[in-house]
Amino acid sequence: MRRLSPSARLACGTLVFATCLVAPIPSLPGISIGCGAVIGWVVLCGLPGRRLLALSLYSMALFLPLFLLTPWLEAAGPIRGNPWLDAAQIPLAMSLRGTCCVFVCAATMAVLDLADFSAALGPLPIPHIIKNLLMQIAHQTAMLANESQRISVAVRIRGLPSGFTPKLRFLPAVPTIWLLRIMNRADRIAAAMDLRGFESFTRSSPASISLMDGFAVTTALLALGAGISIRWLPV
Amino acid sequence: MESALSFRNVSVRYRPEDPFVLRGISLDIAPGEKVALLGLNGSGKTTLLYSAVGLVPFEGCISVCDVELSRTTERPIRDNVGFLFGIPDDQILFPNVLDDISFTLERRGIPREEARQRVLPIMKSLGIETLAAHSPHRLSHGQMQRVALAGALVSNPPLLLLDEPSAALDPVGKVETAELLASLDTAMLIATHDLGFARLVCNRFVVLANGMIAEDCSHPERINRCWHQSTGDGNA
Repeated sequence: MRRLSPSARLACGTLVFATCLVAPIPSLPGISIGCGAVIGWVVLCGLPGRRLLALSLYSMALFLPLFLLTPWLEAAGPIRGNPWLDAAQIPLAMSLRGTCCVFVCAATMAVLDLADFSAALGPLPIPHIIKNLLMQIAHQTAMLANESQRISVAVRIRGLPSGFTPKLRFLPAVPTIWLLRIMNRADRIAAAMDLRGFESFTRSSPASISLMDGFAVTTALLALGAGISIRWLPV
Repeated sequence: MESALSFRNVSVRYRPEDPFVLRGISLDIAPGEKVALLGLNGSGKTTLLYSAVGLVPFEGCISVCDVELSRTTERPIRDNVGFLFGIPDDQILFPNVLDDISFTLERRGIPREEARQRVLPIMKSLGIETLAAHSPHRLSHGQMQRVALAGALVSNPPLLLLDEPSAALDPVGKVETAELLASLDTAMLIATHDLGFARLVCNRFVVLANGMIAEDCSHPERINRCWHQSTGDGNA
């Protein structure tokens, strides 16, 4: 996967993500197309087993609560058997689709570091302002993650106060400190952007597409096309 | 050009209901002149630098390269200034070092490949040539400071405003950076606590105290005494 250009990696990841969104998940062909594309993408990106396990646990924590809504849901189509099982298809479809999207995002991020992401956006046919915005979101998120890590290290080194009540009093202060630091930082970054003239900047990068890039993007496009045709075209 | 930077009776407060942070500052910096701005924490050094490029509201008159600072002249003035922020990672806007430094040239219309070639000598002189492909958020504070300084120096602006340029540097890096800055024929105003660094680079010393200029002279010995008096260090 690393042999593909950053733009091809980003385009493939986006197309596989779109396939997950459009594939009619409750149906067998939809599941085959959606899950097939995701499994293929995850394997090609070489996501390690431990990361897969962590992502599965994260998805379960995120989506399992949806099943608690089953008693209040109505089946999407005509009831064919147990009404609860029919109604459970709605949270099942949402969970499957969401889990697939989580896996695709994680796999794409595994093969695109920050510098790659910036290089990937360059040749894509999207407006410069959107490119700059996306690049700043990615770059500043990494910087903020770093800042958050520093705060968390500081809290660990200095220690929390002993006793349950002091701990309870202290814990709500952490997000406040974090938020204030982030807001101050945002102000300073805005000043630096203004000073360095970032708002008027456009960078054009020449697009070069190799045979392998073309093959990868075409395959991802075919998967998306299959998802669309199963969902919307009459068979 | 008569003066690189000029303050005429400049006062600054962040909000109308706040007290003044700077009061009645008048200061002229000639082209090529290197001025150290010394003062204790909270004396207004950074605010003075910010006011010179219109980042804070001010009263009075500020001119950069003989152009009066106003809303309409802000952009061309900022293009004539190399600015180093006190917290350098705030001004690094790109996910790799080479892109960030060459951005300064690219936005002045220099093609990307040429810009990337032209930043190499300054990167080498600051000892960061091996960091070209690195992500800024993985750099140490000192390395980030050098990257930010390279971004400020690379376009060879007529005026440099540097906030604590030596703060995070190791002793060797400090001397190298001082020598590099001293060798430039650019006017600069350097806010610093580091008197040793200031003496290596600058030929004029301005001491700020409580938002006003307490001393403005070119004699290192005199400034040494003044500095130690203001810091309460009786051993000087």
